[in-house]
Amino acid sequence: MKIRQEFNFPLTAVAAGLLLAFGPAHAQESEDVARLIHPDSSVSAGVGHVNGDTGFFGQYTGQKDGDTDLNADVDVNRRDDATGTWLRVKGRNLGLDNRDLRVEHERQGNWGYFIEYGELKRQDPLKFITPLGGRDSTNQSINLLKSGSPASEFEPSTKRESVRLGLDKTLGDGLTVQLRFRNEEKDGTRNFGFYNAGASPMFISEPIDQRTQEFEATVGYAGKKLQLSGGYLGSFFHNGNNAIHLNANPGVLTGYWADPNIALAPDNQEHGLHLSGGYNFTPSTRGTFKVAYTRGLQDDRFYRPGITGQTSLDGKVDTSLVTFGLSSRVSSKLSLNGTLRYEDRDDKTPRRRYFNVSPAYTGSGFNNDTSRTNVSGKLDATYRLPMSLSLIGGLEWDERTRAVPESRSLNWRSRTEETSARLGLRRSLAENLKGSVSYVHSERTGSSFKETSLHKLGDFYSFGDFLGQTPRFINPIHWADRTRDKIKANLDWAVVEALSMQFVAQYSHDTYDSIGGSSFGNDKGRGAKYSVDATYRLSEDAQINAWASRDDTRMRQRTIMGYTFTGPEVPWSADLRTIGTAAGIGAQYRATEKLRLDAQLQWSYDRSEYDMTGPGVTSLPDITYRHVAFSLTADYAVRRDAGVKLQYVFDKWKTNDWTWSESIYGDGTFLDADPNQHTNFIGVSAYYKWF
Amino acid sequence: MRVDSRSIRRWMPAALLSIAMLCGASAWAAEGGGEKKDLVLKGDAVCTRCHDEGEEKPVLSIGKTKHGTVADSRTPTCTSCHGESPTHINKPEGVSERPSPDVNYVKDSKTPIEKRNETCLNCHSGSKRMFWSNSTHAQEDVACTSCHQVHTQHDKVRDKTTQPETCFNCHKDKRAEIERPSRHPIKEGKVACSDCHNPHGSAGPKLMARDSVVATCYSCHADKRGPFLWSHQPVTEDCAICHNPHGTTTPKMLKERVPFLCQECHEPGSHQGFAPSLTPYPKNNGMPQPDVVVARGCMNCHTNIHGGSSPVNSSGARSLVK
Repeated sequence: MKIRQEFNFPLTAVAAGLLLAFGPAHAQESEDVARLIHPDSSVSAGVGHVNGDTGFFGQYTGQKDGDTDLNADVDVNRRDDATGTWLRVKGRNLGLDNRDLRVEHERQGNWGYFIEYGELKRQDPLKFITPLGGRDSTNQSINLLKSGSPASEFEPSTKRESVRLGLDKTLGDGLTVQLRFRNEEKDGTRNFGFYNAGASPMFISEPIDQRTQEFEATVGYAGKKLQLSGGYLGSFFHNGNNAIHLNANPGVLTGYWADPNIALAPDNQEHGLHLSGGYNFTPSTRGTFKVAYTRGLQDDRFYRPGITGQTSLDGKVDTSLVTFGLSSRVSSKLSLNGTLRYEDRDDKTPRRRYFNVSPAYTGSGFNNDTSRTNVSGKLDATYRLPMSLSLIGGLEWDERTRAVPESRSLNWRSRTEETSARLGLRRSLAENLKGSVSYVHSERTGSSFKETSLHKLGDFYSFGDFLGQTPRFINPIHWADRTRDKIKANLDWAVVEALSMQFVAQYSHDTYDSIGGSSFGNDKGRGAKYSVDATYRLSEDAQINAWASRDDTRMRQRTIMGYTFTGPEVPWSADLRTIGTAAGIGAQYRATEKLRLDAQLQWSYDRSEYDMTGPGVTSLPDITYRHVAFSLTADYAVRRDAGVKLQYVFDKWKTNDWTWSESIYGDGTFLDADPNQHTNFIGVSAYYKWF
Repeated sequence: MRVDSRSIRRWMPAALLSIAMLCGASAWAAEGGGEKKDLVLKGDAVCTRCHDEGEEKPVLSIGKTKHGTVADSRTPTCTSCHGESPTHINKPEGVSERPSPDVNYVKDSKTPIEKRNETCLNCHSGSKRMFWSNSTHAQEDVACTSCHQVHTQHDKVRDKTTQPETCFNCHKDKRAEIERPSRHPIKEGKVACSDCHNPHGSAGPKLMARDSVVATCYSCHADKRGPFLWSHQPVTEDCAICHNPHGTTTPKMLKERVPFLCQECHEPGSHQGFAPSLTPYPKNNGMPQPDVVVARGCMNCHTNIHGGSSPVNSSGARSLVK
């Protein structure tokens, strides 16, 4: 026994020694390596509480004052290394109204499929007090607050629920097939309006019951030189609500608007075929193309027949697209890049008369032709200079031709063309100072304007011309003759190893020409944007970053009042300006091996100015928005694979926005909104990771 | 010769310990001290002998990614992307600093960006990257690795919640815009930049994900597609004439408050020239009016501003009030 004891003890010691010396080391090493090279997974669950005003904060999360929500995220990534088969499950915000869940199964390089479910709630930050009846339906009752109808709170919101399915198959020899299907249901309400002729507008609600479906099938080929992709995309929109029918006591709805119906968005669908490709002519020259043809259809039944018995529009719009691109590194110093693009929208909808015309009205009674052709081209050149510099030059041309309606409610231009030239200098591949500066000059012009017309009194009559008054033409902003100058610069500077900075500045100036000597219309625009960013690594465990930006856009425009033609004409102008200033600072700190802290503070101040001048005109007050957001996240790793997170968010909004401050509705609907909103959120969650 | 069993017993543990240590040492030599085995990719031992996760440039996490899925025969090796790099692997005599790999992707890399991108495009040039060579990003010398992190399981730019951070590295004005009160749910991770833009190039303007601005917007807002009986011209041409989809302080992401926005196109032939006012006035007398600016502004009456479908025998339907 003694011998056995003597013998036994040293063997145990050896085993323990071996284990101590190698076993754990091997086990540890292999686990460490496995942890580093195999996909990891995580799951977290927790609870969060919100208090305060959530108009802005909860706009897209559905969170409201006093809500305590259980929440969970999941991110599972499993791979069978032998076959390269993945199973991924990703869920986010599973306890909130903006949840997402995706399950994906894939044998990499062979086949794959997924299913995805998502929700998105959009809560209107506005809360209405309204006597409107049937606000969730297509039959709504207009009641008058002043007549004693009771009012109640109405908080419009919409919710989207979507399901996506996907299937991928690699067929070999570079061939792939991809199928996608999406179904999205959108329900809810949003604020709407009803024109009560000669009286104040009425508040109504738009009931939403919509479905959008998309189906896409794509076949792809990818070879060394040639790549192709072609397929079909079908999109189908269905609206469960055809029209809103309004009810009211006699005399409430006035004039020829007494038809108490408002049509809602019609069902429509689109079918498209496309083929795109790329070909590498040489290692340094590549050509690309795309051709696409899409047919849009709309034959939804009208809520009532038209005057000649039409029951639907029979809408048909065909869109064709052809693009070509060529890029080439012509020499070691010179690269060229050019594209040509042709897009044609051919509106084949039959033109029919839908209302009987009135001499003094701009409408003809016929629906309009919305056809348009857009041809554009671009050529860019880059020439490499010494010291990592490149000289950049480019030319761009864009021509748009539009169908002109027989009679118009604004000055119409059948053709516009814009030419731009660009010159710049860029420094890349440098160690500590990179950047670019560029200047763009654009000129837009086009055909003569066809002025607002009065049906039956001849075409192309301006109201001003017709009445022998001063022409009051307005140059529509996207068609007007315009000269634009734009300069842009950016700098990326690694000051020292621990500190990097970025600067961006952009300034543009637009000048618009008037039509036919008119003193009205768009005059000048200006935009300036600046920003600076800095990131500083204090140590291995701490980093701070800060940024500030400012944008300032201005637009000067002029128009004139004179509704009845016989009254006085009152010209007036507005110098519109929007200034946005924002700054942020963030810090990440690994306080201990187990504790990580992340803090973010952001501040912004936006101001809109109107600066209106003219006889009897008083400028609107400025509108300002101030926003402060602070978040602090503490992540404590209890173990290597598990931990706890604590998050606190403070969100503050302050505004003097007067948009909804006064009731202009004939039914007396008004808004109840707090211009100062403070929100606190605190959440705690536990997570577990594995591989 | 007589062997003393007691002596054997005494020495056996020591011998076993020695043998064990020798075995362990040889095993260590085989795995770490001598010839190393590949850890993830074929032939990566020559790289991972130095680049483990404790090194300045860790590489092993490539194993967590699609690029580290070796069962897929298309999976690259280290040298597929970084080149053979002989002088990096075996530092030449008399050189103080080890030369970089042939193709290097770090921020201060001397490898031309075109060459870096070529590595990625060798495999990723079809499908949604078909038009890369003509894209603004290619022309601006943006490297694939400026946006993508290849050696990590969680590539920030491929995650909806973190993608905007990457885009904002250059598009800084958009960072402030998405914080404004009227915006898409970008902060909440429900809409990402790549839902509307294809950063790898497209056949549309502004790197639109679909062939035009309107086609891109209609994919989520198909109710605005029509064709409508009564159309509103900008709706068929370019939504961005009226909207700034990145965010504004004006309701409905409008670029300017109404009526100013509407007055940028509409001639004052009728009531279109009304100056807005917060003071109620009698109607239709050519004086400033509140209902063109308060609440929904012009859309208080022109409620179907994206297009109307009312066939009622009334010119008002054409004005999108029905």
